[in-house]
Amino acid sequence: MPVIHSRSAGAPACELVQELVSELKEPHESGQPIILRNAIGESDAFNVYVIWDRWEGLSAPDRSATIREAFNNYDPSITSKIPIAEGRTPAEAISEGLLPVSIKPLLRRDDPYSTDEIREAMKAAGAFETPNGPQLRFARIEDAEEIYRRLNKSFPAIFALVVEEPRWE
Amino acid sequence: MPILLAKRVGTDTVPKLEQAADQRAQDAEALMSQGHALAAIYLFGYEAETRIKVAYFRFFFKHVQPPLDPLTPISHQLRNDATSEWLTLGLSVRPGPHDISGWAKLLIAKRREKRAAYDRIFEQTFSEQAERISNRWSEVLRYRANIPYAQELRAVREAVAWIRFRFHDL
Repeated sequence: MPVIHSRSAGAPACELVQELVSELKEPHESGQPIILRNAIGESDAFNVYVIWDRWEGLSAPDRSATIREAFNNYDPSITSKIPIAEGRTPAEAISEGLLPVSIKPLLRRDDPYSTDEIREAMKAAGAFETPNGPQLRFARIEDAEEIYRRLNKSFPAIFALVVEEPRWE
Repeated sequence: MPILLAKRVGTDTVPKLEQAADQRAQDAEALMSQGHALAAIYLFGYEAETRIKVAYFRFFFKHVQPPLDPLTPISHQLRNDATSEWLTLGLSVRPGPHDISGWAKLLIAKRREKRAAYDRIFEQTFSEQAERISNRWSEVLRYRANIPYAQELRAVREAVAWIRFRFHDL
């Protein structure tokens, strides 16, 4: 009996669809998923990147199908305006330059705070867990500013706001 | 004796080019997913070039007098004739064979000439996406081993995705 392989267009993950729809309806100020809607010039079209550690293990077509299904549930009239709808884990997003703004701790030996305190503060502010420790990453400076202000208030002179990569858009 | 591939390809036609553009899109995505960024950009660029040329000739065949069959071969002469109008159409430079931005400008200008101009925002977006690709792509990439930045790949891919997305409106 021959084995026939066919390419799947991607199947939406129902549970993730629901969570995304909730996020679209009532966006949180911080945390995941992060939904980037990148406008295309002055047109009404936009590309969508959803950054979420829940994508781990899910194929690219399944991630795209999940996002499109969520947008369709949220507002069917806008799904025809989305050329790209893709999911990225935080590590993928960082390596692709989708989150070029970061808030980095510059802890010195004689500072009155411990590494653990700083780590916990970063996690509470929505830091991603990465192999290099927690990272506070943002798509735009304006997304980082409020969190940077709050962290600076609690831990003066510890954090720096950095735009790491050039925007080669 | 079977006819070998290079002899089997035949002449360009609108349907063949359209099919080729779809194939290049798949090839580019496959290369991108395997981490071959430069090769992906190279093929995305060809996808864009092919789609813009399809859009041009699809329009041209309908609006030339008398109209031409959509299956008319797109000969070297036909391409030459198309770009030779650059001055009368108001372009500042004659588009080269792989000048993505130039061919986009040619299509925009040809449509205007035939009173079938795009609406302002569509034209501007089309022009911007073609420019975005042109700034990062050249057919010379095939002779290079540069490593693109991730943002460069994303910029080209997004711009080509928009052209693909709105292909039937071009």
